[in-house]
Amino acid sequence: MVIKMTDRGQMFTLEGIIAAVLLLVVSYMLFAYSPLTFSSSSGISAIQLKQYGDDILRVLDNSSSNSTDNATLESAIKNNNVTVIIKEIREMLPKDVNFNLGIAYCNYTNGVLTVEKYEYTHNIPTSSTVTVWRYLLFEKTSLENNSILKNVNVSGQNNGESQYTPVVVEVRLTLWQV
Amino acid sequence: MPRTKLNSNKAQLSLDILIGLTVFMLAFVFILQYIPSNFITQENDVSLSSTAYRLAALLTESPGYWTNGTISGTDWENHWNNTVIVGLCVEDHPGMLSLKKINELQSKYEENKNEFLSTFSKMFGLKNYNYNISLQFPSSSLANTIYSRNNSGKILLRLGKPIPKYGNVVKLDRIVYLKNGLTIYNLTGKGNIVINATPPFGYFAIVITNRSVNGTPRIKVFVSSRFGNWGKPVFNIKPSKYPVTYNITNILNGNSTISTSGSSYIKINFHKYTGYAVYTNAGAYIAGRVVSKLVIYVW
Repeated sequence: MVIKMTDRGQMFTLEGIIAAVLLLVVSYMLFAYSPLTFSSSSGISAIQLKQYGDDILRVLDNSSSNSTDNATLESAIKNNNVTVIIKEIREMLPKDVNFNLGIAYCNYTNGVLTVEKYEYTHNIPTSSTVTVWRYLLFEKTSLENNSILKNVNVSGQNNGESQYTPVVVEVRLTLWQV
Repeated sequence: MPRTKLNSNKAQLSLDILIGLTVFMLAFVFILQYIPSNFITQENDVSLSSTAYRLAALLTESPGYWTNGTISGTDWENHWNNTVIVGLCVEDHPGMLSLKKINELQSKYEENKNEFLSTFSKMFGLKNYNYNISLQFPSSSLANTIYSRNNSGKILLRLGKPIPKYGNVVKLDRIVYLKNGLTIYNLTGKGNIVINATPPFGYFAIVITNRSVNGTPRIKVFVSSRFGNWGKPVFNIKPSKYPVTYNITNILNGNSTISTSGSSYIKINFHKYTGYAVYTNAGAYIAGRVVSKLVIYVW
C-alpha cells in the first residue's frame, strides 16, 4: 500500500496547543490533588503497630490497680481468664488492626528446661505482623489453682518447689493490619 | 474568519500521531508512577514519619525540662518563660500524662496561638513542618473524632494548624493514660448532686461502700439538657448488698437527651448510704486507668 504525502489528517496548531494544555492540567492535578495519605503508602506502618503494642501492654500492666475483675494483665494471667483483657485490647486498637495474645515461660519437663507457649487467641494474620512483649513476675503462691502457671517447675527440683518461687512470664502481643 | 466545512476530511489525526500519543502517554504514566514514588514521596514520608515519631516520643515519654541558668527542673508548667522543651508525662512514668501539664500547654496555645506555635516549633525542630496535636478517645477515628475533655467539658488538648484535606500527611497515635483522670463526688448520707458534663462518657459509675444506719438506701439518676427539667429517672435502684458498683456508662451514653445535646445535666439523688460517683470524659476506663490516645499529624 502506497501512502500519499498529502496535507490531510494533520493536527491543527490550535488543537495541538489545547491537547498540550489538557495534558499539563491533568498531570498537575494528579500531583497536587492526590488523596490524603497517612503514614507510608502501605497504610499503618510497622512502627505504628509496634507503638500500639508497647503502649497497650504498658497500660494493661497495672499491678497497683484494685481491680478484681481480671482487668489487668496480672490479674488475668493469675486467674487464667483473659476475656476482659481481650475486650480491652480490642477497645484500644483501631478497627483495622487485629491481634493475638499469648504467653511464654520456662518449664522443666522430664528434666529438660524448655520454653513453653500458650496462646489465648488464635486469629489468623492476614498481613505481615509485629510482635511486642512485656515481662511479668509472679510468686507461685499468688497464682490461682486454675492458672496454667500453677504447676510450672522453673528450678528443676524433683521434690517440688517452694510456693514462693518466682515465675517469669513473657506476655506476647502480635499485631497486624487487616 | 473562514467557516469550517463539516464534511471536510482535513485536520484528522493520522495513525502515526495516535501511535505517537499512545507511546508518549505510556512513557508519561510510567514516569509518574516510578520517579515520584522512588525518589520524592518516600523520602518525604520517612522525614515526616520520623518527625512525628520523635514528637510523639518526647511528649509522651518525657516530663519536659526548664532552666534559668542556675536552677532547673521538669515542672516546666510553672516556668513557661524558661522552658527548654515541653513534655507531658509524669516524671519516671512514661506513658502516664499529667493533666496539669496538658492544661498548661493548651492554655498557652489559646493565649497566643501564633507565638505559641513559633516557640513550640523551635523547641521540637519543627520550623519546616506543620503539625496538629490532640488528645482523643481510643475509639476515636478520622470519621468520628471524639476529643478528650476535662470535667467541665472543655477539650483537653487540641493545638496546631487544621489538617489539610489533600497532600502528604503522616499520622501517629500513642496510647496513653492520665494521672488522676477520674472525677469523684462523695455521695454520703442523703441529698442531690448535679453534674454538668459533656458526653460521651468514658466511664460513669456509682459505688456504694456501705448503707447508713436505719433506712433503705436508694439511688436515682436523672438526665436533662436544661437544669431543673428532670422528668423520669434513667436509673433507679435500691441496692441490697455492699459494696457494689453500678456502671451506668452505657445507660448515659445511650440516652437520647445526652446524645443529642452538647452539654447535659446529670442529677444523682442518693439516700441513706455511703459511697461515691466517679466519672470521666477524658477517655476510656481500662485496667483501672483513664486511657486516651495522643494523635499527631505532621505535614
